[in-house]
Amino acid sequence: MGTYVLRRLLTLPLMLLGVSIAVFLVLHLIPGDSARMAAGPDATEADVQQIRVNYGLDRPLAVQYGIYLTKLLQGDLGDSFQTLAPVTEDIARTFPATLELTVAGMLIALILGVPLGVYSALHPRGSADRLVTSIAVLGISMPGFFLGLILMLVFASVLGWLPPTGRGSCAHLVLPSLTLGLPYVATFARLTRSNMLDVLSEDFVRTARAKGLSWSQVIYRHAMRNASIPIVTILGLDFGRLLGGAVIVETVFAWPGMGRYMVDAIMVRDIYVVQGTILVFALSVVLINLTVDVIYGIIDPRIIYS
Amino acid sequence: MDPAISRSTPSQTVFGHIFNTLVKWKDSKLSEIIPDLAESWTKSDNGLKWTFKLRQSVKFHDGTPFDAEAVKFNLDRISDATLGSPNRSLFAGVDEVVVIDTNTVEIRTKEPSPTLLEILTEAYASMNSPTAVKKSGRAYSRNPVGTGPYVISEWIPGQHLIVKRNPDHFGSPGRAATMSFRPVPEPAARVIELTTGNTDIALNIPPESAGAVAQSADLLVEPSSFQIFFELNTTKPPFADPRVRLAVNHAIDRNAIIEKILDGYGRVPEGIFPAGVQGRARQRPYTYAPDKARQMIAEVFPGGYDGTVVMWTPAGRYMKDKAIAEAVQGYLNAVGLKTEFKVWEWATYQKTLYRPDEGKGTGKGSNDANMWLLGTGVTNADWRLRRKFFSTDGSNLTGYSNARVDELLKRAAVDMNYETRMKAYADVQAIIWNEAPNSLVLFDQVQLIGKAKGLKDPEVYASEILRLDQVAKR
Repeated sequence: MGTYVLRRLLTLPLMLLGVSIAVFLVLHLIPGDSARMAAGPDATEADVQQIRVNYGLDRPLAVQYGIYLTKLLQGDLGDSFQTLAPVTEDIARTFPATLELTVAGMLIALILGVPLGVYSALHPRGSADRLVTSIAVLGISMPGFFLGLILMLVFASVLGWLPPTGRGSCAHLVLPSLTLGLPYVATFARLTRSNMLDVLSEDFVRTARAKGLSWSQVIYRHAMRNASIPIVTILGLDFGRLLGGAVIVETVFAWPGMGRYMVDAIMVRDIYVVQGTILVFALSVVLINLTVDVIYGIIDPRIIYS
Repeated sequence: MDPAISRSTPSQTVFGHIFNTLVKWKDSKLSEIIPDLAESWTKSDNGLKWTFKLRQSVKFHDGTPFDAEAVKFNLDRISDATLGSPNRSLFAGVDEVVVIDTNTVEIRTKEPSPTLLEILTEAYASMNSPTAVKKSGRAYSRNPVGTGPYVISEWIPGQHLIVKRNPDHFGSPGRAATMSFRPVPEPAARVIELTTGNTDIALNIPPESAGAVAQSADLLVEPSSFQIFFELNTTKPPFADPRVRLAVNHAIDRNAIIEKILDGYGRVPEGIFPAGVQGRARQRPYTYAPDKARQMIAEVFPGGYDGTVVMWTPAGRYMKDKAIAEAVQGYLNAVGLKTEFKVWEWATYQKTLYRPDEGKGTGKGSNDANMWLLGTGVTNADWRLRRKFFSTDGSNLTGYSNARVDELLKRAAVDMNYETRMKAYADVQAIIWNEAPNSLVLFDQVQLIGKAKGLKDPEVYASEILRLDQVAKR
């Protein structure tokens, strides 16, 4: 296991290099002019040209990339064209906010979704089962910003229980993380339900029952453990999607996270900001997938990495 | 948050509270310039030398004394090419800044510069602490230090910026002990913040929420210097002939657009300068007269114009931009013009419009279209006119060239007499409006601001910058 993790970690720099080249090329191939966007529509051509020279945007692409890579190796992600602030600093500030939101959203999805799934597997076609199906339809069909505004309207405006936007206290975290997590409740519930149903029909469950274990012991010690492998897989995959979903939720709730930071930068072609944030997103997705692989090995001793 | 560089209006609202400039406009009418950090000033007879007497014993928030050296440092800094200020050109006329003594500074210009004082009122000309600039280096935009009535006490970018009253400020102290500025990008969320009492002032209320805001808070409807228009390519048919440009201005029903698309929150333009722009000369609004428009087009193209008019618009940049462009398309079709419509993403649009395309029509990427939707909110008369109408200006996208306009602008640029200079700008506005427009003018924006009941009004500038230091709860 140790060597496997090490090997995976060693391929990381190569992957990041690939991502950085791809992002760099895409950003330079899509139309738009970073200098013009930094200077604004009311700037003169001379000022725009000066900014282009200052940022080195007038130099050949390969040279620009070389300079970027040299800085990157020293841990410097460059400066924002818009605010002149170092991207590394901005990411260090915004990424924890996004992570906080994503983890909270993920926890909500798990804490509500898995028990709901187990319950509906034990009572197929019962009321819980129908509830899960309805939530699933709603969750899939309702766009994140809409759900966010509805929650804000109900809990902040009508009931006045929670602050509408911003970050700071735990209360601020409730609405955005619900908006992010709720659509995934149904995903996890349905996944848990179908896996549980499969596992419950296996022979070892009958054996476990036959040797005198109580239902709850059978479910938690035997069935859950076997049903959880696909859940962990989806957890890993959805984590990346949740990070992406944070972009919209952050805008609606004025959450100072990296998603909003990245999208704002894309709009104005703030190249280094987009580069830096995508690199960090890519890195986190890779690390999460690695973690998922490690968790497999822990849950299921049959899985051996060599 | 470096005033020499940042051009975002919300940032400039904050700058107004933590910085001072040498001189400032007396009020939002932009008719008189009064002392700020400079107590008085004189200009030499040839108009090439301006001498400023500075206010004494003023200190920056970090304790650095404000003096002539600081003025020189700031003005040299914005002119420095390596800083890359988007507004460096504004200061291009400054030849040299000379320190006479601690409290006297002289600004020498290359040409007589009637606009110098006006430029010094801009947020870009804010006085930063030289010590702080040198100390923070490239991180200065994260640690700005000024002389203003408020001091930054906590700033988490994207979350909030909190300022507290500066007890050592030379002018009238701020009324509120602290103020918090928060970016809330989602309009509906801003409305909820206001109606739940979480915030006292919410900017940019969307027209459709105006009713809801008015129920539980005060709705301020303030003029804006922002005008939205279709620029017309004056270098090729059908808009090469000024008569067709005038004709299309009579082809659209502005009242209907404002009522139906903007819920009534917009104004029918009375000239190319909306309220709040320096030297505004009001003109008679264009009437909605489709028959007259059709006739005027027929004068130029007797059989009707048989080409296709290519229309470009950004989506989501200006209030309801695409919907308005579509309405305009309908009006143009109604007077017999065939149209082709293209919607752009803003960054691509900007790049395309300004892309150099020498030797062809407008000399820019704009040459590929006949009309394109844009807006401007510049309040400085010289700057606003020169960029769009001077024949050889790099920002003139329409290929507009009018000998009389060029002559008037050239004369005004060195005219040290304020009245005759404003007269020249008024003449330019009249020529453009009545004889030779460069655009199909659409509407003047209004600012919709929500304010908690019982709060004293903030001072709202047409440039959409707010002064809040005298706002207090009644």
